[in-house]
Amino acid sequence: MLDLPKIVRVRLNSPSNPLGGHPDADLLTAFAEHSIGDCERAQVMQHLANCGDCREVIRLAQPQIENLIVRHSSGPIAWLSWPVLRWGTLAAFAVIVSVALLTKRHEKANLESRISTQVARSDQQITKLPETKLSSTLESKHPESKNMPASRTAGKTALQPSRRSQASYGAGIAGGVGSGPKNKLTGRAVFAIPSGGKSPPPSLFERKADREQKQVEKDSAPSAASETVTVEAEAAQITDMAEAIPGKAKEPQPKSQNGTAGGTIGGLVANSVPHANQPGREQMSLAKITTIPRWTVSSDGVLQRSLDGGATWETVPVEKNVIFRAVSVVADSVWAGAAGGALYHSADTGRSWTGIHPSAKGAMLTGDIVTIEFTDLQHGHLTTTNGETWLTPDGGQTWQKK
Amino acid sequence: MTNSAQSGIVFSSAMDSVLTELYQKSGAEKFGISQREFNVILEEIGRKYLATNTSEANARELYLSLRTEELALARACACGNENAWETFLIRYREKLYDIALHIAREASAARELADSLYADLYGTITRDGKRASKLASYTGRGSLEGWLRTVLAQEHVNRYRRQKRFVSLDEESEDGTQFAASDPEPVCVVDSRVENATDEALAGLPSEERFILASYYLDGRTLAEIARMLRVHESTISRKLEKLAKALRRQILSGLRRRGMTHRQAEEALEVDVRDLQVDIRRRLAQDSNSPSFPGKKVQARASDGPG
Repeated sequence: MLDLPKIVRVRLNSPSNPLGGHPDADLLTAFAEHSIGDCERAQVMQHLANCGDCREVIRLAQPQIENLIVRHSSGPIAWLSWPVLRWGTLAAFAVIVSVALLTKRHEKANLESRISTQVARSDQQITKLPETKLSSTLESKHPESKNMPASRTAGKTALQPSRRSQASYGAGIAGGVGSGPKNKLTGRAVFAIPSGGKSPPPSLFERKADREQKQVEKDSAPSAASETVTVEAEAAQITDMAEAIPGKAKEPQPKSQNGTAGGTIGGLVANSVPHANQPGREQMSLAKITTIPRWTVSSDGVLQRSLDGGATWETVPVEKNVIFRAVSVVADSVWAGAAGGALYHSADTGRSWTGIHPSAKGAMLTGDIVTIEFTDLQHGHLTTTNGETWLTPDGGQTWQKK
Repeated sequence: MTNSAQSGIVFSSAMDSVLTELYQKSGAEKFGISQREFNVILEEIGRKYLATNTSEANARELYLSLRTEELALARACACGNENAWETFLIRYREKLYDIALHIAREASAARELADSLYADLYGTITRDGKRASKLASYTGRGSLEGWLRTVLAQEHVNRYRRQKRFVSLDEESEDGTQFAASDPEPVCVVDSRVENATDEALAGLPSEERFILASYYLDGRTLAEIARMLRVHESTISRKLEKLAKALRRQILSGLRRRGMTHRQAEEALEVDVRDLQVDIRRRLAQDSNSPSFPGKKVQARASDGPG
């Protein structure tokens, strides 16, 4: 803080205008409580600017700081304090990230199940593996297959019609994105597709190879999983591209080698559509959330309500000159507590209010209400500055003092 | 139509209905105050705070801003109503001692302070055969609890000042000041241009900014305390103080240059020790309210020690 020149302090201490009489206790109180008009406030402020004694009185007459701390820590206004906002932002960020991750995982699970179902279906009819696929799989799991005769390897290139569905699936992925054979994704279209001609019936070796392949697939579940993941990655890319180039995914595949290709990729892309619509659903639920009224008490003790999720706040008129300190909301039931034991209840979200005067065994609630907490419409309790706790088991009909 | 002769306000029937509504809301009836008596109280308050030829709208605004329930309670207590006293004691007995302790910061002094206020509230002094209760002066402009705080604070300040006038020799000897030589008269090197330029800059300040400056630099209040008094965030006060100090310095320097000083001379003049300044001690003493009553007013005290 900059230091003032001493001359300024000295001249500041000599009143620029005659003080006259001091404001009475009522005016000073009203000034301290901000319950006087601007004109009177300006007059009192002018006096205070020149009168050290009245400044001292105002300072001494301030409520104890402990009460304010309790109020700030327990009242709903604490939601607006900086540390809470900071941690709240962090928490919100964490929630958003975790929701995104969960959504992603859900997408993956969906894709995984789809793909595994398709693969399982086609596997039932498979007699031969496509050349590169099976050979690479066998090479990785059964190195001895490298030594297979060329004829055997060549034999693997023949595809059964049923197997073509899987091939078309691969081609579908490749073609579904609307890219040519040089597209990166087409690298996955390694399934050799024979050009016409009838395929010979499965030979003994082929049946054996089929059995081997099934065994391999059974043994190499992790590799199958990694395969699935690769496909997922592709699907994600497809989805991304489909999002990046709207309408591109829906374009007919001009060079599709199989009629099912468009359909397959169409299914995949269509699968991503609901996820693309996810934000819309979130917006709807957000809209629902923002219509729920939020309540707070401002720092100067005014009860406020927001109908737009906290973007704007409106003052809720309850009673004049009441300094609110706490509010509690359960469904449409709103409880607001103020200084001097003033308690108000609204059963209709703040449209109408009823003053409540809790008393128990001849004792009345007089302390400043600092917290109110209702667990349901019936059960609630409140605490006051003088350490009292008042409970109600019946929505404020009767009260017990603790 | 009700004619309030004393305040000079002619109330319309609409105003009558406001007064009736306030009476009902105040609960004055249960303390034995009639509508007529209540209206008299309101008129008395109106007379105190409203201008003679004020409009009905202003009067209405004032009356609606009053804390009528607490006003009725206080006035009923002042009249000696037992029910009212019972309610008052239930609500404020413990609170009053807590407030006194908060102000006096010492249990016995707090009890003494609270007891003396109780006596005033009850009205131990009689005027014209009637008890004069301090509660009769409560007008409902602020909360009754806030008013009690203010009254206690005023009483505490008055006591402190009374006690300071009678410092015993024992206390002086404890402080080692009984034989202390008076401060030598400082050499008066005063440039009236500095005082004039400073006064000019301070005179241009809005009262709230002057209040903030005085609270921080003269009374030694913390940013948090000032912020609480003005109900703003302490960072706001911090920013304001920073800006004010800079602006004041700039304005004074500019004033000094206008009065014929060079920039360097003006800078040096602002650094002059306060003890070298001529202070009008006669005016200081006449300003009883500004006498060095409180700790933390060292600057003021030092200034008062200067030559007259």
